[in-house]
Amino acid sequence: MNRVFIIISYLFLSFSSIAQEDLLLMLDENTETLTFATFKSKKIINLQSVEQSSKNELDFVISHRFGPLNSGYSELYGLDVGSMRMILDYGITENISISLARSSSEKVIDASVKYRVLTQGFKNSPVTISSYSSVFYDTLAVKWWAIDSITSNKNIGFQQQILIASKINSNLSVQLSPIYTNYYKCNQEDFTAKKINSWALGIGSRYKINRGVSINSEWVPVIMNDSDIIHPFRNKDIINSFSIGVDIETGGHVFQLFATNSSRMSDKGFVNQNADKWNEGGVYFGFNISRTFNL
Amino acid sequence: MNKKIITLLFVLYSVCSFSQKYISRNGSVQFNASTPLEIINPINNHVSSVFNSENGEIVFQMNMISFKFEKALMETHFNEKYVESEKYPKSIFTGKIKNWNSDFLDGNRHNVIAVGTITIHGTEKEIEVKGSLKKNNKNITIDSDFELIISDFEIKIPKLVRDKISKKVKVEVNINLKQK
Repeated sequence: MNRVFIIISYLFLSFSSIAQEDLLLMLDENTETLTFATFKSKKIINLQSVEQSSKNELDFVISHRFGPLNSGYSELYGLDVGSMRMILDYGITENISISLARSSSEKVIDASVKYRVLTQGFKNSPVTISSYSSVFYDTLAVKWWAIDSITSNKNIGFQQQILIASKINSNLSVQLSPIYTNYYKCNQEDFTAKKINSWALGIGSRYKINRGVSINSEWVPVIMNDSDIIHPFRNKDIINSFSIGVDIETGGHVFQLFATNSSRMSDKGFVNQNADKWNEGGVYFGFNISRTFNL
Repeated sequence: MNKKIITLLFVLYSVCSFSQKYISRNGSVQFNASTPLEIINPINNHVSSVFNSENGEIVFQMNMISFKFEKALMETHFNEKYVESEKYPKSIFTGKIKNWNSDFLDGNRHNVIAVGTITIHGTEKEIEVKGSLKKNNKNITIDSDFELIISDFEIKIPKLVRDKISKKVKVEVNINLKQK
């Protein structure tokens, strides 16, 4: 009888001591957190990243590209020349943003939509997936195409990218972007145009070296033109874009400084229309400056 | 004998089920680090807390990433560069209400002092904060205002933005705990 009493009072004691235990344990629950800041900027270098403007955020970007390094002493290794691209990017919702851009030397105006389909961390997803669609219009080519055909407008082209990115740890992020481009290639000698269907694969990464600075690199091999498979290293005709740079972030600004073999800055231009090679000194220095406004 | 055991079990059961705990998962914590140059006034509406009315023990816990800022870029910088939310996801307070007695639950508002440890950015600090407490039927509301100094928590602010962020941060806590 007594023994039973003792056992029960023990039980009672142990129960009440559990109740006294760490109150914090009562609060523990599994919460999923969505990955943020996979990249510092909306572009890795030339390539679009999975970052986009938040709702009601207007981002104004100026991209500047100097001339090629191999232009020599008389051009101060490219620093005398410059072309620019202005970009206005606006977030309609948290997941949809639109942008409008103009490239000065290419004479291309383009409009694009970025749509985030999936964010890393949502239901344990290992990747963020976004869609990037752009339409571009060549304002320079008007006079040539008018001669060739009046039935279809050959100044216009479009590009579709799927951006798949993963923030592997707080410093390292990687991205793969299959890119499809459809445009007309103009021949300035006989005023003819050839339709190009091109497939490329953008590969980009960023590595944060401290809180404000990261090193970015990207390579964008064209893998297929129409039905011709293109070897990324052995082909002679197509030069793939390779760029390396640093992102420096301060308050509301991001500065991107980089070196690239792409003289062109439009989405179509840097993927498909490169004329310069790194090993021949066809390297361009450039920078992007972005300023964010909250509307 | 069986009867006695059953009676005892009943007593035990009723003691255990008579809860002394109050819990909430949607309290709010707002902080203000504004300066004339920049308004920094984010709010976190997913603060959890448990209060033990038996002995005055109280804990708070929140995810730093749940702070909502007006500017999205500021929110990213807060999480990525300042409080490093990936490395230190939670901020915690564990403590006790000083001189606790059950008279505080008489339905009137009482001014109380909580003492304990606050952990932000992985750094612990002993603090003593003033607040008020009121019992309403089965709920207890707790409000508190206090100040924290950013540098106490090893949060480094770059020189370039030092003038934009106040060194002292005003913190405001509002929470309504329900009996468990």
